[in-house]
Amino acid sequence: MANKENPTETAATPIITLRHVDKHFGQLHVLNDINLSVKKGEVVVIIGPSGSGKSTLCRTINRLETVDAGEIMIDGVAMPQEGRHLAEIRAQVGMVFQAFNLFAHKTILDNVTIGPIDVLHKPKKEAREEAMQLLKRVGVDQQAAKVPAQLSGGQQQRVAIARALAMHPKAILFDEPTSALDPEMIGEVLDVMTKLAADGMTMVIVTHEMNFARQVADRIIFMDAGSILEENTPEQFFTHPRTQRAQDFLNSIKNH
Amino acid sequence: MLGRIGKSRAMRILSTILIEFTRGVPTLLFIYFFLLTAPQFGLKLSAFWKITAPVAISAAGVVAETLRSGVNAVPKGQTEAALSLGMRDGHVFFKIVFPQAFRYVIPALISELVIVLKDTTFAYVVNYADLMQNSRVLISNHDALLSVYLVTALIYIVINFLLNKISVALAGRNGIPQSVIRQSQEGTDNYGK
Repeated sequence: MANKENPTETAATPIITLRHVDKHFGQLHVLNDINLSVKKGEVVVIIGPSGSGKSTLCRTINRLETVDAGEIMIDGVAMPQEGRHLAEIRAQVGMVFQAFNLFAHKTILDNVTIGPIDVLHKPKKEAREEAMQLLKRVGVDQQAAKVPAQLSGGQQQRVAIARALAMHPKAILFDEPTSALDPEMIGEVLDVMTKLAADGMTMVIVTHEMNFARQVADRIIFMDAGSILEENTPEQFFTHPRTQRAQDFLNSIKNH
Repeated sequence: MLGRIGKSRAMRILSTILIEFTRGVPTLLFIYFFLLTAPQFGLKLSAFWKITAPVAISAAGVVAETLRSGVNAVPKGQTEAALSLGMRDGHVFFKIVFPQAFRYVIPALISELVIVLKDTTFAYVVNYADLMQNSRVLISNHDALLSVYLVTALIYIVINFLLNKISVALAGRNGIPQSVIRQSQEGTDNYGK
């Protein structure tokens, strides 16, 4: 509480900063002058119609997508285009993918420990113990010795979240984490994410789950055609969006 | 193999030329090179190396291409996930991509191994005493053409069968699903060239 009155704390550097980020795929302008900053502990949900560039934006934050222009900073440090320094900064930002992307040839436990062992050079024993705790936290510790193909999609995605958490990231990016899941498995993944948000994790989430977005987001970002059209609180956005495009989008999904 | 998927353009071109050359030239031609041409340049090899070197060279190109196809078959998401953990490029390749690629291509590699084994029958060209050479000696000494050929064929089949079994066991130990192994067995059971 005392920290809140401390001026240096209120002026703290955002965890994620994007400045004038531009990207083209050929003729297509996929990201058009994107400016975004995410504070520590903030949950930002990006929504928008498909092809609006929201996934690309999410992947751009740890430079899985290259950009044509603009600056990306993580915790005040500019991200280089490539090299050792880029890897070091990537290690500070977790990522959860639509297709889970668990390492298919490794056990669940090894999937979670490889980051801490290979990148953070943690002792194996310590990494394993922590990984087991994380797997327990997401409810898949019983599956630790299996390989990813033996798990359900929902379980795999929860392992992927544990894998990201094992790196003690400053933020986690979620790129449509439930889009590849059967309906009955979406809930278990969203529950884990809701808990993470409540624990104060900084999160950027691309999703089509509007109820979840409304419930968990501190801020909604609405994108279309490569631009951020609206930034708003969830309450404001879902009841009185400022832009007509957002209103149209919300109407179109309500009809389903 | 690494050259062809690497970042350096020059290395890619060089590797492609090398691979296409070793793949495109028949093994027998390489054998004649080592047997007849190499000694002219002062390269004197034993009969064993005169057969081993050309067979190895012509297999190398095929193996390189096979491994490359395996690497390309590993989903891009595997690389992205590893990069997002902060792994360096080299570690991503050797710890994540290559182990999976290798498992994909075990069947194809075994097929190539079978071809290599059968290529060793070219040893008669360099007068090295391989299995075929020995059976020919037997035939001329005992006048038992058919039975000796049958026994020789049987020995080759047994060796190839064992290679296949070993590969399946290896693949199983590496945690490849049974269905993939079954597919691969169907692929390598084809002994015809």
